[in-house]
Amino acid sequence: MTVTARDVTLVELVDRVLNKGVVLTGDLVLGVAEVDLIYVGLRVLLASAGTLDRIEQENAA
Amino acid sequence: MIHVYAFADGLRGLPEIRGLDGAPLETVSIDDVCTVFSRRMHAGSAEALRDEALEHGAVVDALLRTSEAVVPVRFGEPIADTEALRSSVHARAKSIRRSFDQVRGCVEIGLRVWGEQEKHAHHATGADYLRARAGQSRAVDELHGAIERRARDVRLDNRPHLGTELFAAAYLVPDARVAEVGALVDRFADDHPSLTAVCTGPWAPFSFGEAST
Repeated sequence: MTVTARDVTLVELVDRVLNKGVVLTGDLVLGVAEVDLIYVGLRVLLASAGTLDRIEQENAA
Repeated sequence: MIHVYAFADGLRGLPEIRGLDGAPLETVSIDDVCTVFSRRMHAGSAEALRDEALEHGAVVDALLRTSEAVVPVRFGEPIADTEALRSSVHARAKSIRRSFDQVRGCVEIGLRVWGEQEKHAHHATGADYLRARAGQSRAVDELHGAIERRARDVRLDNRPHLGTELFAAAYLVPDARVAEVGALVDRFADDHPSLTAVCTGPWAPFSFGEAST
């Protein structure tokens, strides 16, 4: 695969597993607020200048 | 209790990975839909949720490599027993079979693009800044269009952007075109050093199929 960074991959995986995919019964353990907390928290971390710097450095390597 | 990971078509064999709590993966066929699950005594703790979500994802990812088509199940739904499982899957079997056809031979590729970080911005005037932003949007639109032409389907992420996030989307890409998509993103990154573009995957098609939101 091409340009990847471990932090982005983690956010993308958590997003998919918590927010996407077939819902079987509708009795999800995690409420919307909790999912948002985990997912948005990771995205905020990702959007920080420090993280983007690291991604740029990994890309350059 | 039963924890379901995904539905798999053309499963060549269960991957070696274990499920939640180290339980072995099991399969059951319900209305010709192969359902992959594991058993557990009780739901996990709140503290373990994130780790368990990642374990769930790892199982789905492993199934992608041993099946012709995978329709992932969302994490976080404990099923009481096999009776409840049969009932749930039976209600969705036709839709799941259609989803297999929609995603067969493809993987999901994610794309995220962030704009220029403030500390890197060197714009003489506000107008310069706006022109630069417009140029960035055009570039991202072109990249999106180029990938979309190579994909079977696309899901734009329309959730509010955070910080310098510019764009996020998921593409359902035939296996044979994944390298092409990667090359497009590489070229975009080279041509636009002020933007940060990251391609992730390949993932199982979480965002696609009839039952996905």
